[in-house]
Amino acid sequence: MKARDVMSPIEAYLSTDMPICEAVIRMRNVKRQHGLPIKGMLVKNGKGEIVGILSIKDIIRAVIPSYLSPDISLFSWEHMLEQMTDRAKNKVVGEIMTKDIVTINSEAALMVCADLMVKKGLQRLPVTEENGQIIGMVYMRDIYDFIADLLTREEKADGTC
Amino acid sequence: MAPVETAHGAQLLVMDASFYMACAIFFIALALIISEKIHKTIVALFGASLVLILKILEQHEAFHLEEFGVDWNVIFLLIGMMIIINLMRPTGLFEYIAIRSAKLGRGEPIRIMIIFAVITALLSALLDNVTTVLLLAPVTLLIADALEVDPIPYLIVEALASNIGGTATLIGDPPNIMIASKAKLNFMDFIINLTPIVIIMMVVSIVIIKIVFGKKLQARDELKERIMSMDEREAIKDPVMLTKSLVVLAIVLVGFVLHGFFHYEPATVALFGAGLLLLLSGTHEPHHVLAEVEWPVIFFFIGLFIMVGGMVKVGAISMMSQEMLALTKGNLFATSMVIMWFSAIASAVVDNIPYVATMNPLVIDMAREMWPHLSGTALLQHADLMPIWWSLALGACLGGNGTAIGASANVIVVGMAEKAGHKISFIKFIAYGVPIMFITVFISMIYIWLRYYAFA
Repeated sequence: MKARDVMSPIEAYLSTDMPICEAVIRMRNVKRQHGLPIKGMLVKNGKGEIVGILSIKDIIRAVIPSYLSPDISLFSWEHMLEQMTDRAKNKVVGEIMTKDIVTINSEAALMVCADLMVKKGLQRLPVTEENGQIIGMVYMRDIYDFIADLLTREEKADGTC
Repeated sequence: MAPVETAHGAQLLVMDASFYMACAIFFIALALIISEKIHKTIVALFGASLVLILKILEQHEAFHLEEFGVDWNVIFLLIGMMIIINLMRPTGLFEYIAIRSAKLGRGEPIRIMIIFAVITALLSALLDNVTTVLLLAPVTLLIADALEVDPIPYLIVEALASNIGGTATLIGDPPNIMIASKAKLNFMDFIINLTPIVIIMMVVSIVIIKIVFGKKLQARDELKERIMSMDEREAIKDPVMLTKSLVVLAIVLVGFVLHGFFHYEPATVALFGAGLLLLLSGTHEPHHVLAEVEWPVIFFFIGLFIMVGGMVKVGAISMMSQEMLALTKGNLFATSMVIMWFSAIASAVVDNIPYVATMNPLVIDMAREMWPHLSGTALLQHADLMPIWWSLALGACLGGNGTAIGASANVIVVGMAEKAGHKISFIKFIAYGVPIMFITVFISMIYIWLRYYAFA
């Protein structure tokens, strides 16, 4: 199995100048195959080039002030998260997206995908052609499903295997 | 070749290829450091390696001679203190102090600003300035958000206070560490000569803060309540290690106070503290504590010392010191004032570490010109030379306040503010920094005149 065998097509993109709230709405409305929700999308700039990726983690990160650390967030106050969310409202996708996109070649083995995603903590991996063009996306979920199917081949009716 | 001794013991300068090479390496390196095109540590190390490859200095001169080589006293004092701080940081002490201070100000924005300025100055006198602002700036940003006030004035005031506070002690700021090592001055010399004037500067600065910000900074009562409901005790992560750290820190401070008396170098005291705290911490993995030592800073010093050593050996520094003496016609008061103001202005635009590394041998050379029959501490601590050392320390440390790039603490604060979404422009920093720099250097000038010339 290769990356191209499990990847899903990419149907929609975000743009760099989109405000955070619009990105949230877009992400909420776009669904991938089988109606699964999407929690991260590629970002295009004004010229239509792919320049980043925005996930729900990036959105949460955009709300957290840079100076916080587990030592200091102890001293947050009631409604600080609301206050900071309000402050982040005016940010645009281009400011908060992840700019270094980790991609995988479409011919790469599924094992490489699995290893890369776990080691780098990625939920989705854009798949590229030889020429660098992105042609699809491998989701953590799809790799899991593939493994889960293998693990449950001998599943019995009572839930044991 | 090195300067040639004449029959009268005076040095005759031979401007040969080594002379020009040493100067070229040093000034090109300085230009590269200022341009920030290449990291300063890389510039310094490569420059130093050229000094050795070209045989301007022999390796044993660079590694083992006090006059030309690496000042290991400075290096190990820095490393020792960095290890102690790295071990203390995770205990939560600094967050505790910051939150406690904010509560001491009862959530009142202006009080908090003043208390933070004082705490920053105090901590900077004992730790290095960068560490102090690195530890306090995040809490400052949090408190400013809690009070819904602009954090920029707080952060700039802290950077300024850290540079002023750092001036007070031998270990407060790298220029002082370097001066102490070269002039063989001890911790108490700094306490007696610099701390009093630094306290006066802090008082003046607080009055200025109060006048400038007193009315501007206001917070609603419910926001102050956010501060008052923080429980600083939660910050303490490891009370056992905290106790050990405080004991070791106390030993180190007592060690510094007494090192002159017992004839220990400050580096010995710091290394003892570092070794003791590492032992007490019970860690089996010293790797991460040691890895967190700021090696780029340490290697910057090492490279710099070798490059400056090259300049000393070829006689370039002694040429500069003769120029300086000619300029002030041997008048020592004029010399110390020129050094103070020149140091301040130079340090506002250039890193004060290479500046002081160059000035130290220059001052010593000047002393040799003036008192050729003296040597050792009789020469280095000649009563007439002391105000020059203090002028150099005051100018170099306080000059750092002038611009956003004048001192490492400023660079850190500006960087952290920008990351948090509060851009501090170069001009904005100057608007705070330059007046404070001029006021503090002016106070220093009057102090030097009164204490060492008028009532000497």
